[in-house]
Amino acid sequence: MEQILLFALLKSSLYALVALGFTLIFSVGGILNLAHGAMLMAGGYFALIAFQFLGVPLELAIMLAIAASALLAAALYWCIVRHIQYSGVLTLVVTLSFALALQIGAVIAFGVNARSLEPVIGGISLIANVSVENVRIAAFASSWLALLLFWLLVERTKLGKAIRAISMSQKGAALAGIRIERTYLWTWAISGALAGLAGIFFAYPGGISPTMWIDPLIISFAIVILGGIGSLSGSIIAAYLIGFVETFTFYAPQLKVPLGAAWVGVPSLLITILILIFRPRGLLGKPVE
Amino acid sequence: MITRKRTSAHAYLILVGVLAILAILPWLGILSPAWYRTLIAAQFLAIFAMSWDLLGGCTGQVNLGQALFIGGAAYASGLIGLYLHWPPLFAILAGALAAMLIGLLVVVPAIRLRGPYLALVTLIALIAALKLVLIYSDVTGGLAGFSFKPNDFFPPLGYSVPLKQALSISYYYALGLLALLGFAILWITRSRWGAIFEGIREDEMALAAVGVNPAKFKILAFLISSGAAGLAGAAYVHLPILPVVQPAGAGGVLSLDLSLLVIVASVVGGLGTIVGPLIGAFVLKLGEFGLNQLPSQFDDLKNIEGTGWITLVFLLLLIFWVRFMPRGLVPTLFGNAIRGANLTLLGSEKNRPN
Repeated sequence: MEQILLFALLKSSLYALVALGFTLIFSVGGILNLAHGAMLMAGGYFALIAFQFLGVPLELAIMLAIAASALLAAALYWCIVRHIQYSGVLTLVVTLSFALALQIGAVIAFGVNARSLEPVIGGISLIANVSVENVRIAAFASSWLALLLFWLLVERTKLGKAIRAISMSQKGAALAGIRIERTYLWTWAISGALAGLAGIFFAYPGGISPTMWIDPLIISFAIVILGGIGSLSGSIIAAYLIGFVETFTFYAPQLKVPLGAAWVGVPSLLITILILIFRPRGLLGKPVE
Repeated sequence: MITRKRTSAHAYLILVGVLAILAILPWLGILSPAWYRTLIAAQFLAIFAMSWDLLGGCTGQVNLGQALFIGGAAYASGLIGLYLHWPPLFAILAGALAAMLIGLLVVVPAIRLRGPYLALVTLIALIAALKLVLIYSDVTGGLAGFSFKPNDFFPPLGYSVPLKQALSISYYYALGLLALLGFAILWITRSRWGAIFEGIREDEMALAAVGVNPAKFKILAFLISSGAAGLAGAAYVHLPILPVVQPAGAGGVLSLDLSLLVIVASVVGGLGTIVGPLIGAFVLKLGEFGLNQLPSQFDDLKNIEGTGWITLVFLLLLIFWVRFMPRGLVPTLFGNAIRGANLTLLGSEKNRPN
């Protein structure tokens, strides 16, 4: 039981990290960036290229991967999404096509099989008599560190002020002299960087594969909608809810519940639908006008 | 008292023109089996896309799970044919009914949800259905799918018919279905109901204020869309052109790929125009076919481990198409004669220019 609880806690924090960048873009512009999962994948592959092919030390390789993902996301926004972001359907089609294009690019360059990436920190620790890989603890710490930095950015900086203003009223923000598109560009770059970081942790233990973008995308989408638009704390609660339900589904046979590995994803997604039926704006979202 | 005169006959003319060309093509004797397969696939994609457009383009309910209706009907009718040995006609109708039942299940949350919330719920429903197919793989065949050979389809068609003849008969069955559902959907969207559907997209509150119950018509739109998609999906698995019914992957009936392809066809052709998705489906399928017909010196570029440069080029072309022709092909060509959907109203509420 302690083991399940601990694993659920660690998994949930990773989910919160995965969803953070998606939440940012969605809260500010109402844009669904369905290429978010692909940015995670790109982060993993960038780290792989830098570490294995260029022979850069691992720490530096991770930094480079985060920077490269940020640039990729910013380029996607500036060259394509900026022109069609007024329409939800078009943004959806374009970002999903971009994700599929990245997937095919990854297959052409690296093959369909998963590549394993060296864990950031090796080794195993004992917590409450449960052995946990250190890389998972690092993911937990990075998640909360990223959340803290993110909160500071939004609440304490000028860019954060602009982000909050735009999320309240785009027109009002523009009238007050805030450069809308440039602020959006920053949010995409930050989101890309967060995705790159999350990708490096998400690559463990399964490795980096061309289809690894799908799961994080669905997780982020569900977390953001369940938490409610524009609510960071709602997203965190949703991340932990989904993380716990998924872990319990996975380990259910130990608790004599007839679920198991094959069911992972079904109960958490059905709970999401149920909550949305009774609370259409998500857990902590603002009411829809 | 919602009525709107729509005198322009352009949409009907385009539909009739496409159907006429498709009906004449086989008589010219130039169609190879590969052409038949491409055109049959395009006809089915056109039906799926038109049924999606009724819901997504006209009514503004962006549905990421159209494949749930298609695949649900395909699985229901296929499994009924496989285990209960119902004649194809009844199995297909049962499949369409199953799709409408799924539509009813999806509409329960959809009545209160909008925009990205609805998109998520439909996406989740599709993924959950795919997982259920995999979990109960002893019945459904799991990822490998199931194959079944109904002894006789409608009279002239059976699995004893030679391939060439089977292809041309399947072609005309698909064409007949396209004509039937195409006219039905176009007629509905241009009737009083269609005006109400567009009212739901534009302003639900105003619609309620003039005494129309938006929830009732949302349910109606979901039922029509899922019924049409389900009828086509069920017929699709009964034609002798599909060897195996598979859930996931490029040819899967329950896959996210299919859902995306349906939306892409609508976007390429023109959202909310019904004939736009029809044209878009043919542009996509013929474009794919054309890229695959490139001279043989490109052969080594085509297929690299199951996917290849061709698909990559295709996706990049698509991104640029949407970037530079956001309204879609048909509204761009025909201007005001065929009005597309107001793109800013589809999806997010936040980015609407006031």
